[in-house]
Amino acid sequence: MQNKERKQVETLTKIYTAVVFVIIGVLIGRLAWLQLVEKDFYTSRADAQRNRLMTIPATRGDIISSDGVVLVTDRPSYQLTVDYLSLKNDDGSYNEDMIQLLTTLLADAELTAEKIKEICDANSGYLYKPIVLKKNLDIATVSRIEARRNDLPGVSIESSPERTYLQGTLASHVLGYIGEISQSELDAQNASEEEQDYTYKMGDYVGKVGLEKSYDTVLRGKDGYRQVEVNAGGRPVSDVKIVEPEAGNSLVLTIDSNLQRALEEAMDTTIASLQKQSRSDKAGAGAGVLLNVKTGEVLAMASRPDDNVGQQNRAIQGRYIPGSTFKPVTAIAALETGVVTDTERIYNPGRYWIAPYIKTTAPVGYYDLYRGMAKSDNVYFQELGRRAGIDNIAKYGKALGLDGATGIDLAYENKGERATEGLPTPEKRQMYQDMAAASSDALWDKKIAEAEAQYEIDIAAATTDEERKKVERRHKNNLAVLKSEKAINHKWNSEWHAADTFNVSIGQGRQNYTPIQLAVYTAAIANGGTVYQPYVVKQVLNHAGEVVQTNEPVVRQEAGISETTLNKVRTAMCQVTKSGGGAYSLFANFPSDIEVAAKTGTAQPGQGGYHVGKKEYYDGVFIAFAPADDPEVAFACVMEYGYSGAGSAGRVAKAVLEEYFGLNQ
Amino acid sequence: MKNFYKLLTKLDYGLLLSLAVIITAGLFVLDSAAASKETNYVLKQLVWIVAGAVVMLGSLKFDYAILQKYAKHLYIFSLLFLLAVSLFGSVRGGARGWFMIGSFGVQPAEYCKIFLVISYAQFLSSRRERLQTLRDLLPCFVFMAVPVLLLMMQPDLGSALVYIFIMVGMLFIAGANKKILLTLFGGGTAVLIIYLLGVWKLDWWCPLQKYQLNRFLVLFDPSIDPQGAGYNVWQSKIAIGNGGFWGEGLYMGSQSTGAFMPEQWTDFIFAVFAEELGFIGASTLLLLFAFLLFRGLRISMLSKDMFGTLVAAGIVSMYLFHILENAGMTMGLMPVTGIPLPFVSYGGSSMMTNFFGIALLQNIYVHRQRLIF
Repeated sequence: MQNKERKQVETLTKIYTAVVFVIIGVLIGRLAWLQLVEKDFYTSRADAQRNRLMTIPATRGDIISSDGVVLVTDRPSYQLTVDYLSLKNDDGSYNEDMIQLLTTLLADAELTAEKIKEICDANSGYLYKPIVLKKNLDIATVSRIEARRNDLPGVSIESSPERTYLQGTLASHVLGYIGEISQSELDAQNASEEEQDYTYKMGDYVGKVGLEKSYDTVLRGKDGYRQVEVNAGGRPVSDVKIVEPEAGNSLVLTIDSNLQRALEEAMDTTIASLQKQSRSDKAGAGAGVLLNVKTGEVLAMASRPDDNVGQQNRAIQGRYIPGSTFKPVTAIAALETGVVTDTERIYNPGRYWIAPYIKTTAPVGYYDLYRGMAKSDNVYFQELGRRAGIDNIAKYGKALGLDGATGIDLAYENKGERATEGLPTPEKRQMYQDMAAASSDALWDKKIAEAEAQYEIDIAAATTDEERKKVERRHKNNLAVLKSEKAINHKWNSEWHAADTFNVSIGQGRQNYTPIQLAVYTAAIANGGTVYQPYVVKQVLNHAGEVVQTNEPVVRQEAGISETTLNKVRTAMCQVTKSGGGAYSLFANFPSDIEVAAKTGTAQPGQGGYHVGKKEYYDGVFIAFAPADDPEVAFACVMEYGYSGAGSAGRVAKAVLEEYFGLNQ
Repeated sequence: MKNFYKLLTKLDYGLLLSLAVIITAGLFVLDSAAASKETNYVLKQLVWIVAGAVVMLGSLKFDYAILQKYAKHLYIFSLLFLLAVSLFGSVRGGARGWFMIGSFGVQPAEYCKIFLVISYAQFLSSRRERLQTLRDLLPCFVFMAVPVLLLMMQPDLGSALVYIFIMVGMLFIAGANKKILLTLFGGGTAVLIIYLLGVWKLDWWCPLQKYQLNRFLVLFDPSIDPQGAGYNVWQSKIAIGNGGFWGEGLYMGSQSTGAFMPEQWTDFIFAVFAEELGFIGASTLLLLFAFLLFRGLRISMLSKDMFGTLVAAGIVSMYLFHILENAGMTMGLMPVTGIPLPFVSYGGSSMMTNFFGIALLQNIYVHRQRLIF
């Protein structure tokens, strides 16, 4: 090389050396930024993806009937999970061979290769969270997959408890069901200021309705967890810490499985036969409750329909007009206030003599308390209601537990708080009247506004002064009429009318109760006036089977009704099942030492039943207690579209009482 | 033989020492990075290192100057080799870049780097008076453009970039017009960045496949391809950051032992290095590389002839771009391409090629004073 050239090379290599050091310097600078400045950030990310808390679900407690039959339990179930990346090739496409193998092993017609990809794509947001492909694997599938373990990296089989209802749909409305917690449930928890036994988190399975909900914190136990180190495939490499789960407590119910089955079967057969009759062909829904009158224990509770888990438990959520089953309240109110004696005879001319002259189906003639109750004479009870007055009827209805919630230990009891619900107490009546008056006002205000609008149009259309005067005059008259109509209607809707009292006296009109309320009220008549808080759970057992909690009967209130009055009413209710009574045929075969006291009801929801075309439908209602001389159980049942009380709900009562007293063997 | 020993005493031991440290540290990190693999990568790597060292020492007997005679042959052979592999080769990592003989793979793109450095050095040294105008430079660009296009057929973008960088480095040392070089390649880089921004933000037309494109776009936004290139870069940044100053310790990197990075024994080995040996280890590695490159440029400067100068400059450029691209990629500074970290990443072809480079550097160094005697 020439000297000049060598000089140039020297210069250029020196420049290049400088470039090298600049580049290496930049790399070291970047290294320093990541490793020195941002170290904590990246370390926390590394820890977060390396350490994983894996929940070990606690076994949920069993629910056991009072006679020891397990109704609900947790059984282990296997689920197949895959981790997203292990199903993928390096270029991001799916590993078809592996998916093919999976579909072959799972042998599930619904879980096609396309379906698997769809599920995976939907879950690709959480890269290392295992994706559940299939739940409830049978043991044969589990062993098939385990045998091909090595060909299926990233696929694993996890065991988790699965809620199992051992007696099918028996008591399904009482038991309820569980499901993944919803966003609104989480929000409700977070918004609540009450202290909670358990803080729910995303992904938890919680009771949605029934006992599963109301006793959720008792049943659920405490989830354990494994803190594990995982690799990129999400597979655990080593356990850091294990906290074992604590199994949930079990519930022993007050419900007897045999009574429950008898109740449900009776409802199903009754519904089936009602559906065959034209007058009750829309039957299909209803509810029944059997109570221990001395404790408030629920011995059986059923609701129909029950073909779908989401259906409401009508025994505590359905509100029904009681029909004649309310007449004992009217009788008690009249007897207690002294406006009538049990032997006073009141003449029934076929319909009541005061407007709206409500008819009766009872034959014309004289009626005392016993005949009145047996024949369910509407005239007799309207007269009693008139004499006692609505306030007294409401007072004794309230005393017998017909106002507000019963406080049963099941979720979502209908508390009857709305103006159109429950017992017509003074407060409730005021609420209703305010509402009715307001809506009537609104209706007439609308009419007035329409009239004003019409006037504007007419006056604009009028061409001569004469026409204008005519329009003005007409409008003025029109307004005067509307305003007075508004005032009249406002007044009418703001007042309680005599006819309203007559309707309430015979169990119609503005009142409605849940079947559980009717049962509690019947039990109170039976037991001498004690209103118990009904309950379904007798005991709570821990995992070892030891009793950790026993629910004692809770007296909500004493009705404060004299024993003589109650005796008379009980005797009157006994007449219902005797020769000449409305439910005679039902209990004719009962032995003489097991006398049944009862009352039938035919309820007319709205005004005069449900109208479908020309057809009229009625709800069948029935209340009963037995044995009449020393009551043990009380029963209430409503069959929607049952037409008559004795012919629908009464038949259910008969079957349940037969089971209770062992008369069906 | 005596002569050979004499040659040995004249080797650039500074360069060799830094190389020995890099290789030794690299073997430990490789052992850690490939711990989860059944194949013994360290043993295989060691075989390549020994082979490379033998080639290096053995080749000292010849003066590199004789390579000038074969420059044309090497060029034509390289083109055929690259053409053949892009037509008949096996696909690995999305590129048709391998000849497979059983489980043994040959990657022509690696070996051809050295062949092209030699032939290009010969080509440039023969034209060194004609490197000042664009017209003169055009053949110089075409010379390298042909193999680059062949690489794009595979497609092997990473290697193509290496070839371009080698070309620029050698042209610079050859004394080519700096204004033209800077305008073309500095400007080219700028245009490329603007174009990529346009593709990313404005949906400009782009011939690349989505996954290829993403390897560039993750530079702007690592969240762009969270399951592909973005994931790799994100995981390697976590690994590096997690290492901190002192590192997690060899075999103890939580990212590395958890296999969070794909290809961590080849493309992402720098992240393992940085996580386990920390800033202290990784910056030392980079400084050792800097020293090695410095020695390489010194050899370039000391070479007895322009051919040796340019060969040395080409080899230094090759190493430099590999280091910049590989380490830069793991730290989110460079696009994601599959090119290895010299002497550290696992890989036979790459190790042999890198040793050829060292062999040439030593040869140039050893024979630098022949003419002066």
